[in-house]
Amino acid sequence: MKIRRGGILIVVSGMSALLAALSLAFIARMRTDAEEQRLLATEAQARLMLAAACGYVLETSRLGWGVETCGWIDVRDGTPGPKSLGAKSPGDPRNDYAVAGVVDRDGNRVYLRGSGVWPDIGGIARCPFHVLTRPPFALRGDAYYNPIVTDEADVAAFGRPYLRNPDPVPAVDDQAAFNAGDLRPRATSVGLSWFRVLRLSPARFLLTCGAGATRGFRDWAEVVAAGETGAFADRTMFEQLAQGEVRLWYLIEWNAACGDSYNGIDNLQNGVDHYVSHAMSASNDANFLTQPMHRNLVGTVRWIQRVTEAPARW
Amino acid sequence: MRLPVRGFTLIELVLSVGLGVAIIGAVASAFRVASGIASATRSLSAENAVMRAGMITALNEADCWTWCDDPGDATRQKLRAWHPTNGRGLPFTPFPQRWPLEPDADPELHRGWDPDYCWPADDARTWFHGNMAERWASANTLYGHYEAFAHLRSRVTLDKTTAVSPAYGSCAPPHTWFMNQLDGLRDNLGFYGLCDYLPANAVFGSYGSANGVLPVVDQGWQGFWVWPVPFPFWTGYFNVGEGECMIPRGLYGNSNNASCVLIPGCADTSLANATTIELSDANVRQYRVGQLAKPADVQDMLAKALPKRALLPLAPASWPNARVSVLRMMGWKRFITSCRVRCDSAVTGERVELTFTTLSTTLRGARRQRRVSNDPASPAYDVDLDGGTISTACLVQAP
Repeated sequence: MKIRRGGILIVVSGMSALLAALSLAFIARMRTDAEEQRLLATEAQARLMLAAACGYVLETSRLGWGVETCGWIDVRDGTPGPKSLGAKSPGDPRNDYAVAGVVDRDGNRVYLRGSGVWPDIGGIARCPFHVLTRPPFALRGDAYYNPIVTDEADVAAFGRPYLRNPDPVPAVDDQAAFNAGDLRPRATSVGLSWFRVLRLSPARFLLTCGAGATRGFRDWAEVVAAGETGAFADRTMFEQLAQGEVRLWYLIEWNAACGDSYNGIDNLQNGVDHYVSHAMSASNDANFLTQPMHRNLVGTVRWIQRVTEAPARW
Repeated sequence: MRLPVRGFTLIELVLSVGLGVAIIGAVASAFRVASGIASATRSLSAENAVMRAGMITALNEADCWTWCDDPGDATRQKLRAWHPTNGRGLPFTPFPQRWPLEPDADPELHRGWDPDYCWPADDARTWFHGNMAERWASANTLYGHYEAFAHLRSRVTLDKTTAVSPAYGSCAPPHTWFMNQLDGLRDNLGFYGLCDYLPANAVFGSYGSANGVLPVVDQGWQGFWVWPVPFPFWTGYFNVGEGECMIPRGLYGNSNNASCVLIPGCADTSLANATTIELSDANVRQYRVGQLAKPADVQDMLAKALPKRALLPLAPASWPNARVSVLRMMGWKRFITSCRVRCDSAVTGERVELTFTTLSTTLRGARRQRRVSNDPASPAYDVDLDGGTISTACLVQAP
């Protein structure tokens, strides 16, 4: 009878089991770390939405309605806006500056006071935040369109800054496609974040900044009302997504002020009256290139207040 | 049948002992490596967890300002003080007590802070009516006496005659609201609060004086706004003399190579035990931070403004030592909330640091978060530090 001894096998098995257990513990810990890290990333993502939402409020005070508008509080007469440029034409009590035929992207008149629909007071803008495949009026992302020739053999062009190509260049050649863009979301950016804006008063807004895949819907009833049930498998899935996302609330106030210029006016020599005015659009001297020194040209956010509890309506 | 009895040969014994030693050595080595990995993993994981906690703490502080003013602890509300001799407040001084709204039939004569007023651009009282081209030290008033248009006081006497302008005599300047707001914010909040509260396009300049500290002067700029001179009893100045011209400036001109910094006076700063006047002094001066700054200037500012708060003050010595800092400043007209999380390994001493800026609650937003009184029976319970109504409901205003 042949006797087999398994000492070495037992030792090797033990070592393997030990290493496997340690590896498993390592992987489990790393996974836990990654999950905790994801929570932090989600928090950061929601905070990025604060910047995005502030930018949205700022820009929509003047832009994006098909016509240029004059601020959330109209800079001409102090009434709630945004209302379009143009002569005042009393007649429609909801908007003294209404321009016939000018509608926003949803087909509504730019601003109808009392409608309760965004952008009116009480209205809500819901903004899922994904990257478009190609935004309208997109330009090519080239760093430079007219590189200087570095080939010495090209005697005629070597080292010369010829402007042979237009700068900038549209992302697509077709004018209609350039204007329209490609509004399909990029798949990798879908379901990460969103923000909502509730207009509380002419210049004050409640921002909800979210990181998650609910696309900014507050509850299932809102999904149903918007006819967007197809975006979620069912109510249970939506509620699971809602429970797993981060939501932050902020109050902000918009103001039409755009920031001062470099100095407004500069007395070049202290003892002599020799003034130079630097206009906001000055571009002749980098030192006085004042437009880049402005925070923006669509107003400023006067203050921001974190609201730590979910408001009754948002 | 007798089984043959076999013993070990010397060679077998040597080989088996050698193999045994090799196996035991391999096992010991593997165990040591594995335990080292486990230890390093645990340490790395702990440091990551501490960094995450530090980041969340910094973001929370950026939004809630609790280190500067703890709403739940009256002993940590030093920035609500008021210095009566110099007539100065601090960044969290309650307006309802020190600078309450005093309405008037004429909006230009409103005084105090109105928490619900949004400063619309069409309202002439929010405009700057001074002469931007008039130098403080120049007496020629080339374009006339603009004090007749705007002033701190509603009745003034402009009796100086210059080579190009006659004496105007007694005047009633129609625009007095903006300049009183300017001086009022400076006196009640300090410099950081002044910049935080004013609109981005504000011009910093007022004619005359009226706050009870400066001698009453009707004619000419209040020198404080147009040239680097300190206010009476103040150690610092607001105007940094940018461009070497004695004229009113916007925010950029007043913060070029200098910074208005919020000095919290909290624990873990050099002013943790400062008196009200010391805190006030630190909040009404510019800090040199630009190309003209010396290392000592920046170190002084950071010592006062940058708390280095221990994240886990009661943690065992073997845990990572983590500190969290939040700095608020305004320079080159940019408001900055700078957060820093620093973690030192207890084992290796290696330092990991994460520094980031964030968009978060502003000073005015933080004041709106706080009650004047925490006593529910007090009428000031529902009043915020600006005199507005505390509300988390965020109700829509009726049209």
